[in-house]
Amino acid sequence: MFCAAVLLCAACLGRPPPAESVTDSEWSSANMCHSVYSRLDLSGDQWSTAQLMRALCTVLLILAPLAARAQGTSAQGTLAQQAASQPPPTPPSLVPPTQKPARVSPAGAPPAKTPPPSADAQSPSSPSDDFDLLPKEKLVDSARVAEIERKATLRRSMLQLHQLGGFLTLGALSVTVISGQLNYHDKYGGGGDTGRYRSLHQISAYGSAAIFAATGLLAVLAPNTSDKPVRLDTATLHKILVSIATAAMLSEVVLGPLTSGAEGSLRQRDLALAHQIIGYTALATTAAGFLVLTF
Amino acid sequence: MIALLASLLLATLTLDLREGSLTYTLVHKLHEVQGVTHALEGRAQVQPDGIGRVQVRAKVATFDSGNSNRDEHMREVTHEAAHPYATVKGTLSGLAFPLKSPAEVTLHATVELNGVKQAAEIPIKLTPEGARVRAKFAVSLSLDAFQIDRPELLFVKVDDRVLLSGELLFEEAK
Repeated sequence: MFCAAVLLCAACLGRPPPAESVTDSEWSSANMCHSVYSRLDLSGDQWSTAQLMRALCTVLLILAPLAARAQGTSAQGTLAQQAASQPPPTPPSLVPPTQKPARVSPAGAPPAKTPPPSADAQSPSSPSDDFDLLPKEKLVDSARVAEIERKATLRRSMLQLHQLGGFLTLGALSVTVISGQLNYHDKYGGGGDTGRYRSLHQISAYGSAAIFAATGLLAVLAPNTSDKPVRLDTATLHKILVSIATAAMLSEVVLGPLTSGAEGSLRQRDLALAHQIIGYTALATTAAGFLVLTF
Repeated sequence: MIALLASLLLATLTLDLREGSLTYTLVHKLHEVQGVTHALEGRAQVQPDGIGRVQVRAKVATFDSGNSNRDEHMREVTHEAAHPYATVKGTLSGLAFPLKSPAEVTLHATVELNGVKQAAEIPIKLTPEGARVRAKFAVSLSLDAFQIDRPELLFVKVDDRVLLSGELLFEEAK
């Protein structure tokens, strides 16, 4: 449109436009129209033609800048397309230095696809952690930490022994219950009351009571490194069960000698039956307390 | 230059962790143990170019395995007194917010536990939930790599591999 306007002005003047004036992109369209306008010779006998030409050039003066603006807009669009086809710049350094920055996609374009994750998972050579989005952690008291670590080490040693004691308790209690059952059968079940299991039962009973007590003390005396809320979990169930077992064991420690001392009395069998039932209870609750920890 | 930096900072989207859980799964010969915590802190930042940074952490003491003795044991072997937090942080790319549909990205992460840092590639599934984003992930880690003296029960140690999984709900920071 701009070129057509210039050609029209030139034709009206009877002069061709300078070739460079059309092709030079820096040439001001307003200056060009003003130049054309100034070349008009407005004498009296040419008034009507001159008026017509002046009006035409005035219109062109108004339209020329608009045409030039439209051309400029078109050129800018072309530049944007060219820039989009060029490699985009790298993003600012919000990315940690160890992370290779990705390219920025041009506005409106979809983000670049990320490469598939590398196979070297858990390699300590590619950390990307030199930033903190959360508040810094509080500094720990080194003296307190040392004290807790010391207690934890002692606690772990004691609880390891507690587990060993648990195994031994279960073994010793099993021997005690089995020998007690055999002894009961020997005495009251038609075994002839030979007393051949009596010593074994006594030794295993005292042994299991001692092991049981030591095992329990190892757990009770182990230092706590933290406050634990009281709630129903497997550890609490373990404690409940071994508490029942402890009560049963204490009863047996009393009931065993009582039963043995009631030799010749009619109530000895009743005592022996109670002793037997409580003995099984001690074994069952100890075993349950052992098993519950495996859940 | 300052204006450019300011505009970039303004354009960075910050997401805060609203709720979620982290779970570890340990395998022992006799049973499988899961410890869960819901007491999490987390934040994510996403730049206009789709690059994001994430940091999530939880106090080791808040993990609950259903057995207070076992939890205390875990605190001991991870030296919780000296290193109270388990932290995951890292960078990811290819994010376009607001999220229109579920997406899977990989977090180039550093996991810190027991005062030891280990790099890990963590696949994350992102799901938009209104203005929020739910992130699910799971990654297998080595206890030995974190120099953790593996806990044992009945003189049998747990397996070296521990599965760390999480479900996190992020929301734009206000």
